[in-house]
Order: sequence, then C-alpha cells, then structure tokens
Amino acid sequence: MAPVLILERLTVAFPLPDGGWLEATREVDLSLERGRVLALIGESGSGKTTVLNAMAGLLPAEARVTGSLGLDGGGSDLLAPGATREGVAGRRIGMIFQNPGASLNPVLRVGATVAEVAAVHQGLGRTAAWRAAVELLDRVGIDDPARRASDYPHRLSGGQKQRVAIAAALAGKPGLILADEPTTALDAMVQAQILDLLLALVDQDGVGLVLVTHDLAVAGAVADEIAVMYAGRIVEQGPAEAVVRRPLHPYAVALAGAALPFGGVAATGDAPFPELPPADPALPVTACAFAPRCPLAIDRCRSVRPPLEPQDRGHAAACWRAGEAAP
Amino acid sequence: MRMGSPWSGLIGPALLLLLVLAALLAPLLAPGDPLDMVARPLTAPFTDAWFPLGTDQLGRDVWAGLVHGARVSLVVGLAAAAATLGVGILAGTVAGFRGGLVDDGLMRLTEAFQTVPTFLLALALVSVLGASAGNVVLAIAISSWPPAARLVRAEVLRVKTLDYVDAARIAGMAPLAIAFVEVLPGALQPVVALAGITVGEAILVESALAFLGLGDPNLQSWGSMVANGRALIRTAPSLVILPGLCIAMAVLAVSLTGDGLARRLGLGTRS
Ligand SMILES: Nc1ncnc2c1ncn2[C@@H]1O[C@H](COP(=O)(O)OP(=O)(O)O)[C@@H](O)[C@H]1O
Ligand SMILES: [Mg+2]
Repeated sequence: MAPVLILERLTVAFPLPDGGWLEATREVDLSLERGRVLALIGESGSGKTTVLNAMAGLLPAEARVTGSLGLDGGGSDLLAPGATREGVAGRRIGMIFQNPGASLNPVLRVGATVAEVAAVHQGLGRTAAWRAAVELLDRVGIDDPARRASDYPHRLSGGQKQRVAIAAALAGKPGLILADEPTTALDAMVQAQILDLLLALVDQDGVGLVLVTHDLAVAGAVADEIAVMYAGRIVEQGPAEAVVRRPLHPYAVALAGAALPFGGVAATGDAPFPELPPADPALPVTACAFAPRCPLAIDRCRSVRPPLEPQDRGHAAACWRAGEAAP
Repeated sequence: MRMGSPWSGLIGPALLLLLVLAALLAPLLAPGDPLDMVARPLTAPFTDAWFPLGTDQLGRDVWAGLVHGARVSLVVGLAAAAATLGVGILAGTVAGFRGGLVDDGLMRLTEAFQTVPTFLLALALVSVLGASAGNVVLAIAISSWPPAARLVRAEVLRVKTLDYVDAARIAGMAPLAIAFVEVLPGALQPVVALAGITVGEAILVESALAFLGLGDPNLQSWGSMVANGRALIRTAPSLVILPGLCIAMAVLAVSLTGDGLARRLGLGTRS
C-alpha cells in the first residue's frame, strides 16, 4: 500500500518585519504508512507546528513554501499557500490542536461542530449528519452522547473537549491525523486517556497519526517512529525504540536524559531544557544549528552542516559525531 | 454614571420601558393626530385637565406630541442603529476576513467617511434625499457605520486566528460559511456595548435633523417640538423644556441599558 503521507524537502519561510525571511522549517522529509504513528519532537520554536500547518494547508498567505506533499498516493502542489478550498477539503486530513478550549467554536453545540464536518465530507443531510455526530461522540468515549451533543463547549472538561475535537476530525474520514501537542494542556491522567484513544483509532481505522510533542517519553511510549527536530531541521529519525534507547545526535541524547524511563508518560512542561538557551533559527545555514549548544562541537560543525545520514538500520542522524555522546 | 447603588443598573431599563410603553400606547394615551389643533393656543401646563402639559402656539396638545414623539424617536433610532450596525458588521467582517486589497479599500473608505463629522454628513444627505423618516434612517446609517465596521474588523482579525476557525477550514467549509457562522458570532460581543451608544446617537441625530426642519414633516418629533418652541422660550419655556427632557431621557435610557447589558456579558464599554 502507498504511504498515506510523503512529504519531501519542505521548506517554509515567514517574512520578517525587516524584509528578511525566517526559515521555520528546512528541507524536512517525512513519510508514514497507514496504521502507524510518527512522533515529531523538539523544543518550542523548532518548527513542528509549521510542518503540520503546511500539510494541512493552514499557513498564512505570506509564507513562502517549497517542497512536495503526497497524500494517500496522490502527489500534488498542495503545499502552495492559498491552495484551493477543494484542495484543502480533499486532503482528508484531520487535525487536533493543542488547546482544546480554542479548537471548538464556543457558540456552536458540540454535536453541530462534529455534524458540520460530517455534512461537508460525507454529503449527509442535517439529521443524518447529527446522527453520525452522536455515533462519533460515542466512539470517542463521550458518556451519554445523544444528550452531550446538545451541550455547548463551556459545559465540557478539557479532556471531553479534546475528545469532541477528535470526533470532529474523524467525521472527515481522514487517512491522516495531525495532532499538535494534543495532550499538553491536559492533566496527566486525561493525557494518557487521550493518547490511548488516538492509538485505538490508529489501530481500528488504519489511519496514520503524526503526533507532535516536546516530550520524548510520550513519543517513545506511543510512536512507531520518531523524528527529532531542531531549529527547523530533522536532526535524527528512526524507529521509536532506537531513538529513545540509543539516541545518536547530542541533542536527542540531551532530550533522552530529560525524559522519564522508556514507556512512562511524563507530565509535560513547556520547556524541557531550562538549562539550555533557546535555539537560534537565524544562524548561518552553513553551520550545524546545534553547534553553539553542543558539548561535542568541533570546528567542522561550525563550518559545514552535517547531512541527515543513515547510521544504523533505519536510524539516521545529522551529526559529524553521531553516537559519540553518552546517553 | 457609575454602578454605585444596587438599583442603578435598573435605571436605564426602567426609563426605556417607560418610553417603549409610551410609544406603544400612544394612540390610547393621546388619541388622534398630535399635529391637530385641538385647544386654545398656549395653554399653560397643569391648568387644563384635558391638556395636562398645555398646548403650543398653534393649539397642539404637548402631551400628545411627547408620547407620539416617543414613537418617532424610538422607531427611527432603532431602525437607524440596526442599519448602522448591519452595514458596519457586514463591512467589518468582509474586511477582516478577506484581508488584502478588499480590507485596504474598505478601511480607506471608513477613514474617508470619518473625516466628515457624522451630523454634517447626515444633514447633507437628508437635504439631498428629502426629509422623510426613511431617508433620515438611511442618512444616519450612511454617516455612522464606520466605527462599527472598525470594531467588528478588529474582532474578526482576532477570532479568525483561533484554532476552531482553522478546524473549519480543514473541514472544508465554504469561506462565506466560515466568515459568518464560525468567525462573526465570536466577534459580536463588543458590538452589544456599541449598540446602546449607536441607538442613543441615532436618536440625537434624528432630533437634531428635526430641529433644523429636516425631520419627517408628517410626524410630530421631539426635535421639531423644540424648534417650534424656541421662539417662545421666554413666555412658554415648557414647550422647549419638556421635549428636551424627553430627548435626554431617551439617550440616557438606551446608553445605560446597552452599558448594563455589556457589563452583564462581562465586557467593559469599549469606545
Ligand atoms: N505565522 C508566522 N509568522 C512568522 N513566524 C512564524 C509564524 N509561525 C511560526 N513562526 C516562527 O517559526 C518558528 C517555528 O515555529 P513553530 O512551527 O510554531 O514551532 P513549534 O511548533 O516547534 O514550537 C518560530 O521561530 C516561530 O516564531
Ligand atoms: Mg507548536
């Protein structure tokens, strides 16, 4: 079967007030099979959300976007900003946002939010769409869904809102779900429940899930594959267990050091590395962006950027000294 | 007026209720046409049980003029405010949601309108269009929509970046549906506070136009009553004072009510 997602050489730049461009992501390649989970991990500002927005067609019109995106075997120019509505709707992508409070329209009943999507994507009439919405709410674990469907979002807890948002995403019968830190705003218990729900949907429906997180422990627990982003680039990518147990890039090693033991789910804070200064996306492109913060940096790192190269059975890293940092 | 005592929030709605009752019951409270001459001219107030507030120099009943004037003021004020807010909301939503050249164009247009004082523009429009209630409403709407448009645009700009709007875009909703179903309702809250002010201003403009003889000549309006009594301000001051008080009361009533409503919704007055 063709991968549900093939993203090649995605570069996104945002205009700066001074006339320059901020490259938020650089030459990002991703691919994903149906029924599998890819975790995209990295600290705030590393470009994770930008990657998802580019795939979903949500970048602002002024962004400069290059690269190619293939969804479910179809390739196209979907990355062009302002891709048509039909292009966006036809993507069959479901997106789940970080803040469940903001992802539901406060003036619509939650059933209407879900039914809206069902109506557009499945061509259902009003009553059929509402019935589909109630079924979906049931499926994502909302108690008493027929009654809950008539509630407004403010009556729901954060976890319930996120379940509704997942139901709305599913109403579009997506092949690919993009979840941008879907559990960061929730407390630890609910976090685990929402992740379990997402994983169940991946198994049952065979959708692909791209899960953005800045928590390596979460990534290790739920993902098949992990891609680590730093300053807009993927610096390490491989099978989840390998990346968590034997990180190759010094940045991934630092991440692993901050993470809980493999399999545990950590309560996430916003900044995993308080001791490290923030990344500088404006660094010259010829150097390794991590060099200023890297304990192993050598002269070569400051002049020549290492390419992302396979090191070991599907495990790739972009580092001249890959594997040398002690976990 | 601050919200000092517990009942101060009730003053506006109470006054408004009084006005609405007067307007609704005008045919019962004062049957007949208030422009008819019904008694001896210049009857003083409180001297004739049939004409408790006296008559003007043409023998028209002042009480009848006031209650029928409440109809004119409220109907014209509400209609003009509704038209003003309607135009403003439409323009503000389109500008904020579409952005780009459409936004630039509409915003330059609001600036152009705002360089001309509202009342002068309304005055000019009515003198060109002719004095009728419909034209007064139209003139007020045309001259007063820019503040509403700018307010709504600012809110739309804020709301359209929210995740649920992105979610609607991914879901493939049509842009028009997104603008008016998803974005606009979230942008309407501050308009509630503006609505009271807009109605108050519309009542003032209507009165002022009537005062200048540009009100509907077939309707007895407070503004025209003031204008009419002006010549006799020394001998029969009540002819100016009574309709003047009504105008002040009406403006106060709608402003306080709008303000209170906005507070109830947890918003400050933003103007
Ligand atoms: N619309 C935008 N305009 C300008 N800069 C942006 C925009 N969106 C994101 N950026 C910048 O792009 C970089 C990556 O941001 P983002 O993709 O949100 O990172 P992450 O999701 O990993 O925290 C940041 O430096 C951010 O400031
Ligand atoms: Mg982000």
